[in-house]
Amino acid sequence: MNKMLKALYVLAWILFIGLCIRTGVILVTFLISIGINPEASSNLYEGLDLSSVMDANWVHYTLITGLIISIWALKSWMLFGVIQIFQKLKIQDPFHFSISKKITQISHVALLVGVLSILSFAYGRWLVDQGLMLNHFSESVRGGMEFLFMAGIFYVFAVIFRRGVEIQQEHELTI
Amino acid sequence: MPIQVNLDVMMAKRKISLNELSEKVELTLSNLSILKTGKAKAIRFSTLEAICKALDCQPGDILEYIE
Repeated sequence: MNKMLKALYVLAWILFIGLCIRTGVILVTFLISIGINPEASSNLYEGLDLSSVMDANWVHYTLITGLIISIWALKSWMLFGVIQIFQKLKIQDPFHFSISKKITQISHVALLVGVLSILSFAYGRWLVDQGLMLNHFSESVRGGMEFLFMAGIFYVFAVIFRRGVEIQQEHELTI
Repeated sequence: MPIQVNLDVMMAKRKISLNELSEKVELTLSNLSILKTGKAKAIRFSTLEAICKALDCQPGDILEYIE
């Protein structure tokens, strides 16, 4: 079991680093596109092309890119929460209040990611309706409903875990 | 909690130290301290039985209900 936990811990670190890189790249190319080279908006990350939005309206461009960056940053933060759980988790003595708090926090972040993804998707669709081109946009903000569902699952886990903490405390204080 | 643990009173009456009681009832000092200070959430019948045997008393001498 410990080996599996370690493997998951390593995997969580890899995913976290990947997400941080993705967030960082989008952030840096966005800053470059608004400060140095506007052409950078044609390929923010892996073909994400928001150049037509930038050409049309700078505010819309900043808003939509800000939303994408926020979503990915929150996803990274969520995964950092998972890493922290793995760091604190001990199979012999698993129920701790701090872990229950972290799971609750992850559920809140997942909820935020879900809401932001749905909002961004709707916003992107509205921009498309206005005649703007958004290439590879949906790949960056998809999964909103899945994140909402995940938030619910994590919240239920957090509630069960909290009960587990109470039971463990009771067990520890039973003489 | 309305249940008060009078273990210290009984220990004083029997003139027995926490260390001695710990050896007699085969409980750790920390667990006995938790019980003595009233921090325990529950007590097993086996523990109560061992304490009553060691202190030659009744459960009511150790546990008291206070409103």
